[in-house]
Amino acid sequence: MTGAAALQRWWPWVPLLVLVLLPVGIRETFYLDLLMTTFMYAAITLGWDIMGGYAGYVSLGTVGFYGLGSYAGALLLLRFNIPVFVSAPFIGVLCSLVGAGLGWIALRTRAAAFVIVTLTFTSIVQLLALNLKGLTNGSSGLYMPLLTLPNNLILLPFYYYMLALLVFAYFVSRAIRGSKFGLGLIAIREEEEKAEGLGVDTSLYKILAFAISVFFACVAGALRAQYLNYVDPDIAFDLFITLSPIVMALVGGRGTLIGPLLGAFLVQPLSQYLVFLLPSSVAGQLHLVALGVVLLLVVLFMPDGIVNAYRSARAGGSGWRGRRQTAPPAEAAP
Amino acid sequence: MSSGNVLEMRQLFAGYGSGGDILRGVDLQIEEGDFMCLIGPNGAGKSTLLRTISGLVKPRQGSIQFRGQEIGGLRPDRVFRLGLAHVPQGRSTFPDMSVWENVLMGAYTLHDRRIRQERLEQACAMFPIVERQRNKVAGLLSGGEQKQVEMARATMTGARMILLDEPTLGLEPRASRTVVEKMQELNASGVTILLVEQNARTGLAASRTGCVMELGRIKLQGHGPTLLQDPEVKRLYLGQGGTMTAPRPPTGQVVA
Repeated sequence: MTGAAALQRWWPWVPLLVLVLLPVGIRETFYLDLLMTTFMYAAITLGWDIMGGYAGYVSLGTVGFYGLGSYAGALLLLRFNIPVFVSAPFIGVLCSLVGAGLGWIALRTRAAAFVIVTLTFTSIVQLLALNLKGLTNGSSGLYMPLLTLPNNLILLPFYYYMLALLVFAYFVSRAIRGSKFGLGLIAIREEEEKAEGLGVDTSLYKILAFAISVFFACVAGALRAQYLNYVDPDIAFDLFITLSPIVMALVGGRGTLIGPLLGAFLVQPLSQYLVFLLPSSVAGQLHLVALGVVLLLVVLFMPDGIVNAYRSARAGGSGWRGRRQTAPPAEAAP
Repeated sequence: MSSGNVLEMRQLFAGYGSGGDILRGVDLQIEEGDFMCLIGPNGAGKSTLLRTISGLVKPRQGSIQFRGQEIGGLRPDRVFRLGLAHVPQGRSTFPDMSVWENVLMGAYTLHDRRIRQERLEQACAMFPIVERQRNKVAGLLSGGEQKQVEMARATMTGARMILLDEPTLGLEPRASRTVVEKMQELNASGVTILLVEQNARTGLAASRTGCVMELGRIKLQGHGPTLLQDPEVKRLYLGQGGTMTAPRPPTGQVVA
């Protein structure tokens, strides 16, 4: 009994321990790099899901914040000599403030407008990066000095930093899910007007959720810039970074704690493996096609993701989609 | 007027958008502890009246006083916090949340844990379904069960008055009888109820007082079961003035 309870309580730490110890055994850069990017996407996806899953507001602005983080990290290093490892959390907080500002503009309206505003935000930041040449060096990008570490160890600080970011994202998401704040966000997703009627401060909650949700993309962007020792507008604002977390959350299960994690750990290795496996002449394009196929299959057969499909199979229900269909139309005005 | 009225409306006008008035001068008083049933034909403005009281529709003119305080035009959450809950037409549970979470949503603005616990226990006592199905996803419950969850949620703020918009619509007879009984239990525990009902016979038989609404105004008001005997009500809402089976007397009031 106590054994089972202990298992219940402690099992999440087992994979974490494995991941912490893994670099001791594995020295191959390919796998460590793969794991590191997986951590990065998992953290970004967990963050995205706070807004996109819990509150139900799909953001297409992820890479805008990621790129903002990249440039902030690079500029703080180049201009003020602040190492990215030190500045990253602060950049995250700063971006959260930008997110709150953007949210304040975009979230006073309902669903669709928000999507457009976040996408526009990405384009605006990218245009700024391209055109503020004095600051960003335009399309030539910024080179950042290498870390002074032996070649075979240079990956490790990034590996652990991203892992820490992922663990932090997990606990933030978990704390939100178990809180009144989280319940309020889910109420917003299900029916905003009703949530408001029950006393949920919907505007404030949405802005807060969005601010928290972009933190992780920003920190990841800053770290990644240092990892590549280079930023330019194409790398920092690759739309793939907006789309991947959405695919991952959909595959794993939106609005759940485990779903985004599961999605990231399935999709990212799969997509990297395809790049590795396929002849290099087509790899760059074909793995994107494969990702599209995965997304299509999920949308067709498991529209609520693995976690939700598993849950409703266990509950004997028909899953989210089934329930939604049985929901009556909105009440009509008399 | 007198302090016995929990809700008072005077010359209330309201409508949607730029459309015409739906409510055209409603005057209505409801006494503390009353169970009033509002009937009337489609388009009379019954639902609009409830939506105006609970703040979903802004009044264009006139006043609404809840326990002596003007609430006309207040935001819905403000009205809710004052102790006036609205159970709208159709299903209004959060379908993806558990039953328990749904009921907790009713206590969203309640910060005192002790009071929340107390209310939860009361709600569970009156609506056993809350405890029995607590972890079930609300969207999987039957219509009647969902109505009970909604009513339980409405009691969580310690509402002094609950507005119910056709709670028995689309329910099978047994489920609708349960819902009616639950309303009477709630009323017996001291909650004032304003019920809108299409089925005039059931509604008037269950309630204490009744009123008839037509074209945005209150046309008749009186003792519920007596209204059932009114020739005009009979003719208009009960189908024919001929012989009809005697209405079932109000079921015995069950004390919670």
